Amino acid sequence: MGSSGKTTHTTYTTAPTYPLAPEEIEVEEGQAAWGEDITELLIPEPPPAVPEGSPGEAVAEAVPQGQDQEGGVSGDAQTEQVPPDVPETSLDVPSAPVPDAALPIPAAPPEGVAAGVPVLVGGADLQDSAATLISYSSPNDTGPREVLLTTLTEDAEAKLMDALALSEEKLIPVQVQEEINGRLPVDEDKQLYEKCSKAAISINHRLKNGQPIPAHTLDYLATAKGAVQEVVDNPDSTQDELAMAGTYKQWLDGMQHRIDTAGQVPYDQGGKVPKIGPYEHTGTVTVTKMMPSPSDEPASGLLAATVRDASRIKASIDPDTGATSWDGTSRSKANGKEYKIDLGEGYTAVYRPYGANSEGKSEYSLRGQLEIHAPQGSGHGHDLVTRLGDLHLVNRAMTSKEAEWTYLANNIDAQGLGSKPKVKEALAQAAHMEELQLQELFHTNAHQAVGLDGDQLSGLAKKWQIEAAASCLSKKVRLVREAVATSVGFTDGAELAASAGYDPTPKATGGWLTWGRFDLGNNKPALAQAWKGKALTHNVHGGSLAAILSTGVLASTERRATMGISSGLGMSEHDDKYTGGASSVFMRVRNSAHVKTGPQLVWDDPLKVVNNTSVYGYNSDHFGAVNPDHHLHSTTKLTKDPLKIAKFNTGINNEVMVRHGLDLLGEHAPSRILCSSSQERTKVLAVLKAKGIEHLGGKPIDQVVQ
Amino acid sequence: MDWKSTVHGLLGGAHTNTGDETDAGAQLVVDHPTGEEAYRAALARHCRWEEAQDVLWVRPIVPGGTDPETGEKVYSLSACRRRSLAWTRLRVYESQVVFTLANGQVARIEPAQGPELDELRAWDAFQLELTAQEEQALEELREDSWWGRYA
Repeated sequence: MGSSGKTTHTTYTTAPTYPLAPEEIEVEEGQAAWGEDITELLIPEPPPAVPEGSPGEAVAEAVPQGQDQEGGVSGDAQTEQVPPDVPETSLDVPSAPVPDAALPIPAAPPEGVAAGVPVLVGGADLQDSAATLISYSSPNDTGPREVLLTTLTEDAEAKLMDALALSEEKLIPVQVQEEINGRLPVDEDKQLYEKCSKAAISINHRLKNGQPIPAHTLDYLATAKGAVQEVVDNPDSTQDELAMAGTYKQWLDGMQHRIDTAGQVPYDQGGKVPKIGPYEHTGTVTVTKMMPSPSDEPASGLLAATVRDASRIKASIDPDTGATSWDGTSRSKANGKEYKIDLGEGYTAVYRPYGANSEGKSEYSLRGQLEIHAPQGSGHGHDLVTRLGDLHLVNRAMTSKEAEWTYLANNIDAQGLGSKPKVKEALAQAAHMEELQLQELFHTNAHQAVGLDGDQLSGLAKKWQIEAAASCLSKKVRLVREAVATSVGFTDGAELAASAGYDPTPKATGGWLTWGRFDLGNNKPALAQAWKGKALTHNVHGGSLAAILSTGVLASTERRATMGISSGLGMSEHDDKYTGGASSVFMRVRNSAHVKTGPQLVWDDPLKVVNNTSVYGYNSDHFGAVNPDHHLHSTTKLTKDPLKIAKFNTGINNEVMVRHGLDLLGEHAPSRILCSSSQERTKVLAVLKAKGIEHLGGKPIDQVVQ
Repeated sequence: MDWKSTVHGLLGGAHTNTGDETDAGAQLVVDHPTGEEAYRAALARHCRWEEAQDVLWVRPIVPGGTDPETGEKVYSLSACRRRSLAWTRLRVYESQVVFTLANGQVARIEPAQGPELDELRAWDAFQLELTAQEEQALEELREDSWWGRYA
């Protein structure tokens, strides 16, 4: 098949063949706005003095694959110290312990936690630079199954494809015995199932509304009966055909009975005509399939892979405890194609490429999704991240500096600071800084390009791009932070960094990461006043509260598909980009005093929920693209400002969206859980107590659950 | 002309020309204030008027997908979430109700046709999959998220 990912190739303009002295680098007008020539920013900072035996601040040199990766402080004597901000290049340098990791990678994710734990990965290969580690309990109690789940950016797919030796390149015809399931030809030819189904739909429509059965409905039933009876009466009908006709006849008799006894049995207590599936024939036949050739030795350094129909992990969630388990083999079918990849030493991967799964037809979030499976047992957290390197992906924890860059970018977007002149200019300068650094790398290393083919040149260009970005990182952070600070009233970047609200480390809540807003942290009195008497609410349908709380999270559809409690069927990625529905949970601003009945979750203290750079909202239901990532979304009606959201019309049709969802048993515990009945309250309390939860948000659960 | 009766009639397919109401139904079309179309979808056959808030709840049908296990069309009940119409102006015609929404958009509930009518028919067939309790929960139009089957 070859690579089906998009391979980008950037052509760089020819630069002088001698390294430029700083004074020879052209500085655009205005670049010295902060009294600092940008060329000075290109001079590498000296590495900090590292006391002997200390891990220092530097990114350590790579260690061979297979060794444990420490996400925290590293005392590994095998590592070398390198200048700060010089990155690994995932093409040829395996993972390194990262003493300056923004978030430590857990060695063993907690077993049975359905939402998993988030991992922040460096570089730009993964969407949101994040992955999720989930540890599924094993039904036969032989050790958990730990899996890394993530979605690649489309640009990163080419790197992964380059790592594979795709067996589809050699296809041979093979005769195989196969069980087939399908409808009988006579059923399909005469549309027997369709005739029966049409009658059922029409009858139910009338029964539900207590209406008399009209003539056309009776005609549908008579037509279906006649067609089925024809098969029964045919002396040439096979046993399978007679069995099929008998099944449909029984269904039709049930419909007639409900018509004859209409009104005697309530619709929701057996009065509804039930659905049956089409009658299918099961048998063994000989078919010809194109199968991957028997395994040759894959080309040196490439990974063996096979193509198969797409699928998802079919996990089970205990409805009472919310614990997740998986037998290691059960998978549910999905539309599209995927690669199964052998990583060696008991590790495997599954990848659904963008190119083989169309945007309009594939289940949401399937495209670009990668699974890495560890051998059964606990303690593979670090190794699972390390194994990303087998697929040519960045495989180390994100550094604090990278995290701060992401934090600044998210806050600029959430607070609408991108239009501020100083910020706009700083971002442009940061990009320019990278370009200059890239040119410097080109000058110094141009000889490496000699003799390379197109793909190799593209890979080399990407490698230099990564290095240029990383080497400028500290300076970019300093530059942009300064601009942000002075744009919002701080004296300088240092004052902003020292302020109470500035926290560039994301929080791991539920199974995902949330980035806080420094404006909320620094403006609490005004926000508290704005939100006084207001609540955020989330309504559910009857009986759902216990199931939601058992998982511990109010999760978006996308997250629930990752957790294995939603199939993701029925929604395409195209639709979600338009509706924004699958990636967020919806809430509403209400007057706290008016919120009294369930089933719903209520946050009378909503600041902890809106302290999230991903929150956005509409004062009233807005039709069309609502997802801020969609280019057609309304820029005039959407707001990310928590002060404006607090002023939403507290009727019932405003909408506030939170990406991924909320951690209900921890950080985002609701202040009230309103049940629809005393039975539901009893069940909810039992679920919480079974999970060892006696308090939510500091309050006893007997007070929270109402 | 009573707008509620007109909306109910459209949703129920009263305007059918085949004699069978399940052959007809309603769609929602919303235009931006500029006149450009913003949204179009078939409507499930239920609605609820929240009189105290002067809001009409409806359920637009986001096109479903094929279940690879069964080959049948299924719907994400999370995607087909309830939507609200809050209006500043309302006009009723024989086979159309036009709402000028509070946010400036203009919404029409009108007879479904073409792809929207096809989608509605597929949705009707999908209802056969649901339990009576699931159908009733949908028709209450109270949930902000759907949990359970077909979430």
